[in-house]
Amino acid sequence: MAQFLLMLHQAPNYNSDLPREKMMEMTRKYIAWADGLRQKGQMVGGEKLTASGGRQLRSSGGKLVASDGPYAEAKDVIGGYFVLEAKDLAEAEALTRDCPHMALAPGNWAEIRPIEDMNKVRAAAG
Amino acid sequence: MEATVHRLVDALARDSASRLVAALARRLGAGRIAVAEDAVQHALVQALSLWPFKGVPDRPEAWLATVARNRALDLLRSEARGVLLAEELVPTAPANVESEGRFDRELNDDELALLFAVCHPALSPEMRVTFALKAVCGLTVPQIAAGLLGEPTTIAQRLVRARKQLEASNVAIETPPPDVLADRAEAVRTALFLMFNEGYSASSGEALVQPEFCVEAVRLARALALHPVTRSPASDALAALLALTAARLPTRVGPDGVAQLLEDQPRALWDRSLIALGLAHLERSARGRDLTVWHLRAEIAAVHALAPSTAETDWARIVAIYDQLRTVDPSPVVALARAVALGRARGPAEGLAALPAPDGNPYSHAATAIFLTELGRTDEARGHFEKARDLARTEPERRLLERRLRS
Repeated sequence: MAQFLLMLHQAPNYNSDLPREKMMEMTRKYIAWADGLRQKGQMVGGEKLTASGGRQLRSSGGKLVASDGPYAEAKDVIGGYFVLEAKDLAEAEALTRDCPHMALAPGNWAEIRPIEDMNKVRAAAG
Repeated sequence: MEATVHRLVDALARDSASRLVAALARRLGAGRIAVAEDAVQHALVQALSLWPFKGVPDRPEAWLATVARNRALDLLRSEARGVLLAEELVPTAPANVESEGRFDRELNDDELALLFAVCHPALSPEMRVTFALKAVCGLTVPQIAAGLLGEPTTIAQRLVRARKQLEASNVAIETPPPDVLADRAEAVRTALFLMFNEGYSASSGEALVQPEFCVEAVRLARALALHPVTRSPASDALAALLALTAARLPTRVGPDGVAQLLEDQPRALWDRSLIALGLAHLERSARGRDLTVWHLRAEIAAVHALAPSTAETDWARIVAIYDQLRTVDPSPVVALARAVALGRARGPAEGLAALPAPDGNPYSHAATAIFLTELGRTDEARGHFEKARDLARTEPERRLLERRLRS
């Protein structure tokens, strides 16, 4: 088994305009998806991130420069992440296809990144 | 475990959001209904964002109530006027969480009070419908605009005007006192009837029907008929009328997107449980001596619902009920419906003679065309079919008339 980071990209506050019924329907689907994975032992964890109020740090000319970001006005932010357990990328993709995030709003998308397995790296290094 | 979560979230969707809006609005006052709506919407957005990551909290209703309450306080802080909000804002638990029915939700006292406020006579009839769809049913402005033949900005402005008017008229969110209760309840019934009609014959657009308007209208009419304050033969008659008519929703438009006339609708697809529901209310409406317009309309709907086909429908009975209805409601809509029934009962010549002047009404032109066709006057019929098609308000209706013209 391997672990995958699932990053959920979205426009901030994308869902504030949904009707109540629709909103709760999406909540139900979302929870069903996450709980289903939890029960199968394929959900390692996850956190919701705030859309704004973060800080970004960069090195510039040998100095660390901090700035605010992302902003609530940003077009695309990472709204939250999950860590999934799957046997390979194909399975991680299949699990993500069932995630209701993409259906919630037109700009929503998901990014799946394999997490380096340090045991394998060490084994390969001999 | 998963089934529990499903039922729980469904119950929250059906009940808690409206109850929370009503509970908050009642404490904040009629001028701040929008604050209550925004606060609850915010709480739902928070739930949607957080619960998938963290699971459902132990007391989800209390969680939503707390988040909504805090948000309301935040929103009001900018108003500078301090508002005292009770710590306990958890809506009373619904009586029948287990029920699966879309139409089985009772109104608690807060929701009934809110429904009375948004259907206040100080507001125009279209304001009442719009306001109820927004505040009581929780539909969004774009959804309401799509159903009500309006621009979202027009709908939003109408809501602003409605809220200001309520505030200016000093309307309290409360059950009306006994001396005006009957009149105020009738204003609510009329608003629900209009809401249903908007759903049943959308005034424009691609869809002939807006099912969610109908579902909400049936649900509220039923709740009105069951609530101890508004329980009455008239409320039961309205619930019967809306349920019996809603039973025909599945066949209003055929699978090909073309509107279907009553005679072409496959009656096996009519919703039996809604018919049963309607008949139960109709029976209850007969208790007492009241005979209202709702009784008359409900009875017509029942005749249709129980007839095995259009040919076997008791059209003479329907004409007789329309005759009664016409004495209290002399509108062209009733005259048109009566003429159509008369044509079925006594032949197209009598129907044609009874039709009101079409006056730019597509349904009148269509009825005229159908009677003329039946009389063999196909050339004259064609002109009316064309006018009806040009005036058709929705796509499925236009397609139906187009098809008649080609045949």
